Amino acid sequence: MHLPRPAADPAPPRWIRAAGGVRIALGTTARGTAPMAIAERGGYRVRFVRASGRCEGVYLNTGGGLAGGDDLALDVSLAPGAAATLTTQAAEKVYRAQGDAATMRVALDLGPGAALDWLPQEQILFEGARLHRTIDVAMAADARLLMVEAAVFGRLAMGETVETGALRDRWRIRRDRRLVFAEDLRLEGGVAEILARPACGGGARALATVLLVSPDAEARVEDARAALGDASVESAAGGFDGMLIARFLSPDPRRLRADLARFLARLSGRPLPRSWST
Amino acid sequence: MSLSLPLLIWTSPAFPVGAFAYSHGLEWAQEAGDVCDAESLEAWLRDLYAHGAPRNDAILCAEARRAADDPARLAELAELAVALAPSAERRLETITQGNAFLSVCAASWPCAALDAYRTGAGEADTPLPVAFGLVAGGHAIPLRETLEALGLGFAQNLVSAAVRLGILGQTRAQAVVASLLPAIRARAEAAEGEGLDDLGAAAFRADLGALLHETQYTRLFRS
Repeated sequence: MHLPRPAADPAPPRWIRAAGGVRIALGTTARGTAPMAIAERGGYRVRFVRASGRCEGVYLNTGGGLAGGDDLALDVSLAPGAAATLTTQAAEKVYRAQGDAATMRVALDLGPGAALDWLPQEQILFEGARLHRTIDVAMAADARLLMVEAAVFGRLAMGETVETGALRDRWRIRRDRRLVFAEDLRLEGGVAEILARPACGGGARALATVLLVSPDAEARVEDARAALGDASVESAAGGFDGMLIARFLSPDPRRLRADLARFLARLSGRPLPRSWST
Repeated sequence: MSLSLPLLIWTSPAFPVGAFAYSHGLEWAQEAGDVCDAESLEAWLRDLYAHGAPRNDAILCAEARRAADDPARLAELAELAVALAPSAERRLETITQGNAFLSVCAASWPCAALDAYRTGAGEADTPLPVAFGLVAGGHAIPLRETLEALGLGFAQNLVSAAVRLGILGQTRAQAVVASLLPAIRARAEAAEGEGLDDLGAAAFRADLGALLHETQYTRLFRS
């Protein structure tokens, strides 16, 4: 018997798709760093808490993930001397894109002496997900930025794999107006097939990059390498030009996350935001 | 004179840019067991052309070739090419070869484009793909041939490194180079129509290996 094929999900109309974001200006007050201005659009929010005396912002996506065509803009500026940590409430799910890719634009601006720990939780890409992200940083020569981005392909616990999709991630870090670090991650098309290749993923399903840009970054390389000594996933750290970089790669997203969390806590010198452990 | 003869000179191992000192992480890939014979070497290099530094190098070289007469644009491309190198050793690899290439060419292959660039750029570092594209443009070498030569030079250098590492013998090594020509041509053809928005790589384990090579116990190579 000839069974009818299930109809493909129709792409949602454009007007349903979310365009939004959060703009935050952080300044210094007598009681430490605090948000001076917050502008929220679409389904995106930020909630500030004080954690161990530090200003900590947690992003929430009330839409529960990113779908094709969604456009998310996160803008953060830190006044001179401001210090804060920003994270997300949960791992961000990126769903199958029917039409356009989801786009995410991050712009971070750090004034003299400012310090930002940019610690979002991982992106989880579903089969057919397409995400194009840009991260642009402008920072003063003596500012300090610790940032991480992690991506997971499929939910391991659900037995999912991602055969096709796209992740494009463009980082441009300017310190004192000079471009000091650029990264263009481009994983497009046969994601599983590319990740299986020996020089690409070697079978990995999760990856993460940590970057520390700080006057003392290169002095931290030995400590970072020592911290990776007992990591259970493939990982390495190195330093150059006032920066420290560490990379993680694993077929097991849970092990990668555990190693990454330990490493970030050591590098930042304080416990990770609570949302990381829930 | 055929336009392609200078390319044979510039990519010859006799052209003194010091390419022999760099393995682009191959030395670590051998240590890790990823590359151990002709087949695994060829697979590793194919991955790099499709998803690694040679992919971006072709795009950067093409942009430099197009902008050969625009020193300000070339300086931007050089800055970007340095920033894209993902480790201390990979930066050293592309910068020392590019700087050496320009200084040898200033003496042996002078051209107006190179003069103008060196006057404007001063002491700024110029990674190899930008240096190569600039000089090729200064001598009106066609774009496609320029990109093919840069890509072939990369393969020849790494295969030579593999021979010195004892991964394979000299004869098999040449068979690997020959088998890579379609990948090299395909990359050059693609880069002709690409620009900076097309930059992108996914050679995560090669980048990880570039960092791990820095602490490798015994090393013949500087990358």
